[in-house]
Amino acid sequence: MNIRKLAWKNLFRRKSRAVFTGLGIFLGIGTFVALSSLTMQMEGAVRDKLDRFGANILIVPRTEQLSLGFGDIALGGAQVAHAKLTMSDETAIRSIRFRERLRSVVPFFLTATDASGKDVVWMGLRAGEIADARPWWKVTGTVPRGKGEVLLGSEVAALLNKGKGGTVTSGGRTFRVAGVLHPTGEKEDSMVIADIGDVQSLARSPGAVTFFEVAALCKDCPVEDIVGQIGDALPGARVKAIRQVVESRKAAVDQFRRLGLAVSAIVLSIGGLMVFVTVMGSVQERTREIGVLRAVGFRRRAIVSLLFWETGWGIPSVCDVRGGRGDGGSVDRLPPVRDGENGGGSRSGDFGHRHRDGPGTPRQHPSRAAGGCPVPDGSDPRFIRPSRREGWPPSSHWTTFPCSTATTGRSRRHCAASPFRSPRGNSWGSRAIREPEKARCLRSWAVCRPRHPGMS
Amino acid sequence: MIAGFRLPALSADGLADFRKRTIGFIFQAYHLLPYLTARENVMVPLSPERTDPREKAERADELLASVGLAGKENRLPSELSGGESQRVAIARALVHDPPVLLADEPTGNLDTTTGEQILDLFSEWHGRGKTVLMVTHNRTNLSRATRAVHLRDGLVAEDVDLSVARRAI
Repeated sequence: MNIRKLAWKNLFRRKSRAVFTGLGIFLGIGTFVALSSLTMQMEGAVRDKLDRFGANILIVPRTEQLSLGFGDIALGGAQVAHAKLTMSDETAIRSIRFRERLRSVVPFFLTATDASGKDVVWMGLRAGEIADARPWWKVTGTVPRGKGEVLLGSEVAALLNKGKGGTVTSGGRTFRVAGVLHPTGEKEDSMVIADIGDVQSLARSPGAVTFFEVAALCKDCPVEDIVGQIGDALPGARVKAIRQVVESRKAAVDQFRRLGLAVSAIVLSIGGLMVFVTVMGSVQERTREIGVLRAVGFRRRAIVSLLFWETGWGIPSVCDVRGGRGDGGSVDRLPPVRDGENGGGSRSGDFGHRHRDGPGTPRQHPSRAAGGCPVPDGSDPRFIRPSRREGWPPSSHWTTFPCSTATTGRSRRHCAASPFRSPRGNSWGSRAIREPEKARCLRSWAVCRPRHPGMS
Repeated sequence: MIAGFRLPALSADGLADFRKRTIGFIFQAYHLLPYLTARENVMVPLSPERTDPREKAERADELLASVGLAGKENRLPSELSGGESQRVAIARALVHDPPVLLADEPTGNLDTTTGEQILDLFSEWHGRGKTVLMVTHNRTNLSRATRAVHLRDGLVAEDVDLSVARRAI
């Protein structure tokens, strides 16, 4: 019979309650774990989706605004680009330290030229990247799949009166209209979108790039770092994070995380409440039984261990299930039933703890018998709470014992058999010596303090 | 100061140790744990000890035999009579070999014959060196006592050394 068996027996007394409590705890913990995992997964998925939804960094040539004038006559201003962007800059962008974070680098080239006799803006980007760069576009027909195909903005289509399957001419070349863009409310509505190579050739600017759009995955790194690194790689370019995009994504992900945490916290609270109610119910309905246990010498810790075992939380307290005093002196040999024959039995009015040396009556633990039976009273440190004991060596005198593998992995009984307790207060592990120079460890190390001088 | 223990100075655990080492409690209503057998009930005070379970069981069987319950070790309290339950309770009180037995109306729930048997047991253990402190309303129980302290409204009304009185008779 031990604490565990006592708890087990009581549990089996009310099987249905035990089953339902166990089920409740299992469901509570299961729900919490499942919800946490789900939230984490969904958070990642949402972040990934948002990262894929368009670019969050824009790279444009560094320009300087010059005001032109002669005398008092202002002739407007002119933008002077210090350096133009080219297709080869993509290589530099993709060589930054956080290059793994760059999901896409899309070069754009814009030029104004005619389309079937009307002056419109042509926007070129690699045909294969259009769907990725603008996933929210809705198109009647398809996006251009290669050279010789164009996508008309809704306003341009109306202006040219062209639709899917029609043709557009420009610079002596004929382009097939692969599709028409639904109105977006953006500038794309008045543009012709084509492969970047076609647009560059129309403008006679091979390799020229107007700007780059970069979609960076910013899960673990701030977008500012990526912006800085691209800026270093392209000194002639101005790199800016599209703050609104970044912030809105962050806000969306944060919101999601908060929601997940809130739901998890609620579930955990309900689970905790359930355990609390179970324990309290167990305590209240067994007040008398606990009283009896206290009367027969159960320490508070043993009672708590018993209750915890019954609710399945007793594992951590396994090392503390000790009714004996903190002297390592669990009763190695129980006292005999019949001790009258040794002639030294206690009599009425003489019931002090007496050390009996009668033959065949091994009443005392050898360690106690050797030094005589101490008379415990209020000054005996073994009977005073550890926190109130005086005379413990200072913590600087505690010793850390490196433990070899031979001393690790011992059974829990060893740690319970020791009067020593880890300064960390752990219930198991990091403890257990009988002599200061011999460490018995449950793990690969042990911090032990020496015996209290008052201990026998 | 009791048995060398200065009780006011003791912590709750110190008091628990004091009870374990010094006092065996016997209640009027036995207070056996209903889901444990007689043997297990006697072993309950030993539960926190890290002793060999077989040794605990042997100890319990030995005590049960000494109170006349040999062969009934595996009975549940519901299968025992009142007198037998009280004997199990006595065995449980003795399992730590305390020098003092505190009995609160130990025969209160028992018929006269069974009550006498319980008192016989007390006499036997008293003869083995135990101090038995019994609270009772039954004056016939005094026939076994060596000392009687009469309480009236919480105050000591009389303290008689019955052994002296008996010798005088």
